[in-house]
Amino acid sequence: MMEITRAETGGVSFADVFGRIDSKTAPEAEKILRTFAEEQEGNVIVNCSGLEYISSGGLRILLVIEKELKGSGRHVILCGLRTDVEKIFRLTGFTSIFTIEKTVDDAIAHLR
Amino acid sequence: MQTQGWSPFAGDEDLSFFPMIRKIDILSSNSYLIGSEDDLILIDPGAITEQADRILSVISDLPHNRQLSGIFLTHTHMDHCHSLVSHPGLSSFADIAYSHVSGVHALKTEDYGVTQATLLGKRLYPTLLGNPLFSENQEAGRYGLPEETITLPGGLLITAYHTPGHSPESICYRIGESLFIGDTLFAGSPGIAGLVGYSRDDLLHSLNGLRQMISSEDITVCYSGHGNPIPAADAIRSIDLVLRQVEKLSGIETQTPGRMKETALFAEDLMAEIDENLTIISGRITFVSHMLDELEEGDSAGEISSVLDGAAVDDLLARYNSFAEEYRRGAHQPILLALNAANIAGKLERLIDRGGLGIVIEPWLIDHLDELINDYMTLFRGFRPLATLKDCNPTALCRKVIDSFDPRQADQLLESASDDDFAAALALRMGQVQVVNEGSVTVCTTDENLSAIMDPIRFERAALTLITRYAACGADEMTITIEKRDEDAVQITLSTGDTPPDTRQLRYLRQAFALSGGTVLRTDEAMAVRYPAGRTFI
Repeated sequence: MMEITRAETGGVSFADVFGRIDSKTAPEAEKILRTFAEEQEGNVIVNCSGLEYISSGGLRILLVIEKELKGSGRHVILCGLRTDVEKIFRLTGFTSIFTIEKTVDDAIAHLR
Repeated sequence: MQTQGWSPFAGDEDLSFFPMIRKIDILSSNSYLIGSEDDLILIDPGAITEQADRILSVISDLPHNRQLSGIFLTHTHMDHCHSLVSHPGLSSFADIAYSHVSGVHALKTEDYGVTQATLLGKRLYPTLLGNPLFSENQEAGRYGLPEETITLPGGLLITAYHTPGHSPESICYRIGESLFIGDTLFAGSPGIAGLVGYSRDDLLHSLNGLRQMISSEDITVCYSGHGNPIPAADAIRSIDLVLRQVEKLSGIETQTPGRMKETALFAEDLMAEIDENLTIISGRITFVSHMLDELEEGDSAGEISSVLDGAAVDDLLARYNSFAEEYRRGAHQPILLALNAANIAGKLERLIDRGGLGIVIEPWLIDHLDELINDYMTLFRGFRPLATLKDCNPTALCRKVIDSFDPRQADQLLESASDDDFAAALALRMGQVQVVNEGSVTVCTTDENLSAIMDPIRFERAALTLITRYAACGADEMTITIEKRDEDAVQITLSTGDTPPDTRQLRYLRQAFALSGGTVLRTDEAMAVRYPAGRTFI
C-alpha cells in the first residue's frame, strides 16, 4: 500500500508520502511525484513522515526525480524521515545526494 | 488444476483414467480416478473443497449411475486426505477407503501429529476407514517391500507396497504398468524431511526397493502425489537424487509445529535482515553509479549498475513481504511462511554474483548476506546453524572491527591505485559509505590479553552490523567494554545509547551474537554477551 497526496502549509505545497515504496508501488510513486514536480516551481518538498519502508527501487525513483529537477537548478527536499527509513538513506550514501530536513517546517524554512 | 477429461490408462486400454494434476504446493495433492468396466477408484482425494466437488461431479457425469468402489490413500497427511474426513460428499465413502493400518489408526484417533493436521492447520474428525492394509502381512516381498494385492468387486487388481519413510503409513499402489508413488520423491526435500513420522532409515530402504522394482518390472509411468506424471526412467533418476539427498540428512531435527513456528520466526527476522542488507547493497550500487555519472565516468557507471539486477531483487523481496504480511494477519500457517522464505532466499541467492558485487561493495556485507541465507537454509533443512568456536582475544577482535571504520583505510585504496585501476578503486572507495564517525566507538578493557571461546567471524559480523545500524540510527557515542566477570566468563558489552533499531532487528542481533557462541544477557541500552573464558594470551 502506498499513497501520495498533495498537502499545503503556509501557502507552500508539498507531497505527503504514506505506506511502502517497493517494486510494486515505485512506478506509481514515480509518476505521481513527477506530476507534482511539474506542477510546482522551485524545489520539491517530499514529506516522508508516513513512509514506512523504502526499497532500493524506491531510492532509485527519488534519484531519477532529483536528476530531472537538477537540470533546471531545482532539487528534492526530503523531510520527516522515520528512523528506520533514514537509516537506509545513511547506510546507502543517499544522505549525500538529497537535502534532508527534520520536519516540513524545516524544509519550508530551507526553501526560503 | 489441470484436467484433460477421461483418457485410456497407460498400458491397459480397458481402463480409463481421469487425473487431476495441481500445481505443486502443500495445500492439496493430486487426485486420480481410474475406471474399469465394473470398478471405479479414487487415489488420494486431496484437501480442497473445489477439488472434492470436481471429483464428485466427474463421477456423477458418468453413465449408468457409477459409484466409487474404493478410495486409496498413499498416506494420511492432510494434504492427501482431508476431504475424506471433512467433505460431506466424500466422507460418506470412508467405509470403502484403503490405507495402511497405522494410517487407519491415525485418522480414527485424530492424530494431529502423524497426519500433519496441526502443521497444515486442518481440523480432524474421527473417521473410520473400512480397509486397513498390511494388518497381518509385514513380510518383505520381492524388492524388500511388504506387498498386498487387493481385488475389487469388479475384478480390478491393485498391488500395494508398504514404503515407509516419508511417513510410517506411506504406500505405493501399482495398477498395470502404472505406479502411484505419493510423496516418495519429495521425502528428502528441505522442510519435508523430518516431518513427524519421518524415518531416514525406512526411507532409504523404501527408495532402494522402489528403484529395484521400477527397474525390474514393466512400470512405464509413475504418478506422484504432487506434480506431473513421470516416465519410469526419469523416476529412477529422481529416486537416485532423493537417495543422495537423504543419505546426507543424518541428524536432522523433527519438523514439529513448534519447530516450524520457530523456523517461521527465524525466517521473518532473517528475511527482514536480508531485505535490509540487499537494500543497502543495491542502494550503494545506485549511489556509486550516480556519483560516477556525475564525474562523467559514464562507462564505469553503467558497468557498476549492471552488477546486480536490482529490479529482480526488489520484486522478490516485495513478493516475500506481501506474503509475510498475510501471514502476520493469520492467513497462512508457519510452514507456508517457512517454505515461502526458503523459495525466495534460494532465488535471491541465484541472483547474487559475488564477484561482480565485490567491485563496489565491502566484502563483509557480501559475506553477511551469504551467512544470512546459509543460516536460514540450514535451519529450514532441519539442522542448527553452526558456530566455529576457538580461543580468541576479544579485545583484538573489537579493535579490528573499529579499525575497519577508519576512512583512511579506504583512502589508501585510492592512493595506491595505478592510473589504469583508478576508476575501479574510486568505485570501491565510494561504495564504502562512511556511516560510523571517526572516534564514535571506543574499546575499554581491564586486560588486553583476555581470552574467550567464540566464533570470531560470526562475532565480527554481528558487531559490524550492530555498530553500523546504531550509527545509522543516530548513535554517535558507543563503547565496547571487555571484562572478565569471573574465572569462567568474559563479558563483552556493546553500549549504544538509547536509540535502538526496531525490535525485530534487536531480536536478530541477539540471535547473531548467540550464534557467535555467547549468551546474550541484556539488550536495553547495551548488548551484553557472555562467552566462556579461554586460555589467557601472553
